[in-house]
Amino acid sequence: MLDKGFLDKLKGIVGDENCRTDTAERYCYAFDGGIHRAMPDAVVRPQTTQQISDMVKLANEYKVPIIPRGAGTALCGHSVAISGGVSVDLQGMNKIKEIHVEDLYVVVEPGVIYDQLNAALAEKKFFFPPDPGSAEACTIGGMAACNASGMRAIKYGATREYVLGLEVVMPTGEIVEMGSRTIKDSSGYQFAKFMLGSEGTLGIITEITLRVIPKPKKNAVAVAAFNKLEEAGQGVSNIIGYPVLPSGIELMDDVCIKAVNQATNLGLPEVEALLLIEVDGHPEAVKEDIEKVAEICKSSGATSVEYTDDEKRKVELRKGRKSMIPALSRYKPEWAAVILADDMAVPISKIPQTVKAFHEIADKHGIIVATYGHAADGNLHTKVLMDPLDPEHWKHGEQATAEIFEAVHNVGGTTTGEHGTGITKAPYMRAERKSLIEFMKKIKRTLDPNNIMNPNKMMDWEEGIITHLRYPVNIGGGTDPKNPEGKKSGGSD
Amino acid sequence: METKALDKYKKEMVTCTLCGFCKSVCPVFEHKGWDSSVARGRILLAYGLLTGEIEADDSVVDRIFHCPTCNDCYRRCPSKIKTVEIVEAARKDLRAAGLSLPKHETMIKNILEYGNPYGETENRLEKLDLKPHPAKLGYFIGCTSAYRVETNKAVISILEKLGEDFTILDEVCCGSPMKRVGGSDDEQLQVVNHNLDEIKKLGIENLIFTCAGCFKMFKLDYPELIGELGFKPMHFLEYLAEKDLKFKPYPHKVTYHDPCHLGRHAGVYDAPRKILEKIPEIEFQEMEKNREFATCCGGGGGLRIAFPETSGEIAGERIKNAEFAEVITTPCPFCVVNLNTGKELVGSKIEVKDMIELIDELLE
Repeated sequence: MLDKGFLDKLKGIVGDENCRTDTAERYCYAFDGGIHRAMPDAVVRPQTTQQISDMVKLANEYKVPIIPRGAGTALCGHSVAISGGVSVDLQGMNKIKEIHVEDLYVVVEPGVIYDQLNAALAEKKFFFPPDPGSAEACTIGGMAACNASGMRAIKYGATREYVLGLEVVMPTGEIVEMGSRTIKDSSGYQFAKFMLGSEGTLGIITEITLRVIPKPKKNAVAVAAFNKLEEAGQGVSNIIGYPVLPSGIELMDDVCIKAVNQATNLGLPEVEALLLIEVDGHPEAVKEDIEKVAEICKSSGATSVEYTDDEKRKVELRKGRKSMIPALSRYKPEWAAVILADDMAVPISKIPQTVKAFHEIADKHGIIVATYGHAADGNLHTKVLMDPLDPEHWKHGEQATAEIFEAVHNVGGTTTGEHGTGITKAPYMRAERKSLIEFMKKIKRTLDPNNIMNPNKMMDWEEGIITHLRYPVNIGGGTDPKNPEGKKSGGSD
Repeated sequence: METKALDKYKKEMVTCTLCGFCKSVCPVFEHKGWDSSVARGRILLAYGLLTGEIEADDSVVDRIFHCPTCNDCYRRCPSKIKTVEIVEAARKDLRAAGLSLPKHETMIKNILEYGNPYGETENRLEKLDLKPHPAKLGYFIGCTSAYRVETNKAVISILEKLGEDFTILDEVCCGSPMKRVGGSDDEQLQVVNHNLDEIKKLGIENLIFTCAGCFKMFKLDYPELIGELGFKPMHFLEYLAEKDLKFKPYPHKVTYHDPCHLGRHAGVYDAPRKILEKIPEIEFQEMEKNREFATCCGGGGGLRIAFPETSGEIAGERIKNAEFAEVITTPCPFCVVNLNTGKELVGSKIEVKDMIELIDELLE
């Protein structure tokens, strides 16, 4: 419960109409796209950087946690108010402030939606490439805070490759400008880059300057079917090593293929692995590259390869990939796709053995792990299919998740490629980055002495992951499903 | 609070991945901006009611009822969560617990007492001076057409020009307004059974509608309540699209608004376009968002009566999308009424034209 004096002052800063403490709002902001939930004590929608700065100073005075939030599409509890406090919804700060394609940059507020920015840039034949799966809903501020990326990372990189400058309200309320508007910048510490991936623990991003690039003129898509996962993996390595630099290679394992066939009439070949490969660029280069991709796939063992640059056919070929998530979520009547181990990255050549290891771990625990992902950059996405209302499934899900990340770390992989850490991946990031955890904590304590900025996340999350669950299931030692507040005690330490 | 209606959607709500893609299409979210004002939020609130995690206080009731049931969220949902069904189930449970909105309660009371949501006391057939007779083709007038606009005259005129033997019936409200805002099965069955008896009495085989809400109710909700209908509900435009119609020229730039309950809910997209194509000299242009992607007029789901401000803002936005045209036409009288509200709000010069009236004016 917030101190009345604090709440009155908070309303004074953002305005009554931009501050809510009712049940409906607090409950809806208790969730993001992941498995955890905990209610904030208030939700605010600030309109200016100055309001945010004033609010953060006030929160320091009263030691109230502040949880920055974009569209709430994160998958690991990043914006879940695990210690209560004020959820700061930045969706209302959604202006594209400046577009300067001739200087290769744009300046935006944090609440601008990725797709809306690209729609504005498309008019000038430019784009901001990272292309996360949540492109139509996620915000640029959230992408920067989590260093998000997507299908095109192999060729175009992640958000960090495009952030030139940031304006940030630091945990003690100062407004700091980081980076610049220039393509090159060696002036001092590269703090704008440092903030990427901080997930709201080191400040609130209030303005982003992004590098943008011209849109490729054409693209083409190939679909290749492989009887052996290893052959698909070899195909990916052969394409990249040739070298052809695709704009994306998507992998679907046999579980994903079965799920799509079960849910649609697409009739995908029932093989161990499918690759969906996209190339883009100058029309002549695209033609040459896609033909070469098809040839490499065949020589790598593909049983069938189809490729096209026809717009209609490209849409049809992408249908399988697009229908996969709904197909998986309804794979078995009482099961659902649960966000547990979902976003690891491994060296590209290790993909086949890693996927096989996932299947063995799933079989051992009586759950299903469906794997797809951005094969060209080694970033795998898994959907754990289980009954989210069965406590036994959660216990096995947790054990399987630990084993999956152990397998990932054993081949030199990392815990998260593009979704971030939050709560759900915290134990595995801690296991992976042992030498870094204390250093991260020191930085956090220095910049945020009252520990108010999205506290108890990443390196500071010391519990397991099967806790504070959003599902109505009571697991021994877990959250009482009748406790909607679901809070961890204390916001400041 | 008991959650009898929501119980059957437990798995559906757990299956929602909370991806938030519904934010890109929800017309209420576009105007409100808070996370409780979008399908994902409504599903969470319904889920909180089901699990008992939250109390149904005023804020929860407000958000659950703040939805036009336009179904664009379902269209966009990657997991195909039955969002509108969940919202309607939540409303049913809230209402059973005595937590309805006063304006909706009055509407339901009016339907049960007077046979229409407006509380009009005059029998619609006496008002319109019409008498039923046995015929294979029936016309279900609908409450808005009977009491608020004059679409009925256009329908009758068109059918007479075509030389059809048709009948109206001694109808009462189809029940759609009740169903959308949480009317119980018993309440719905009172009007459903009355209408079905009248249809049976007259030997109707094909029943035509102009109101998208009435049509959706008969086509999709009546079978849910009582099983097979024994007659075929058709939207009037589906009926007309199959006819050899000859029109006078109409040299105007026209666009078409797809009513949500006719388009996304009932799947009727081609018939209106097929008819508009037949009009000489018409300059027809689609709005950017059309067919299954069409945005809502904001009138449905009990939104217009309970939250006129939100409903009007949504209608105004739809009008702004159409301003490249001289005329925006749509066959649903309820959409016509709400789009006119939007037109006034944004001060647009566009003409909002009932498509049935347009057809009648141009039909030779």
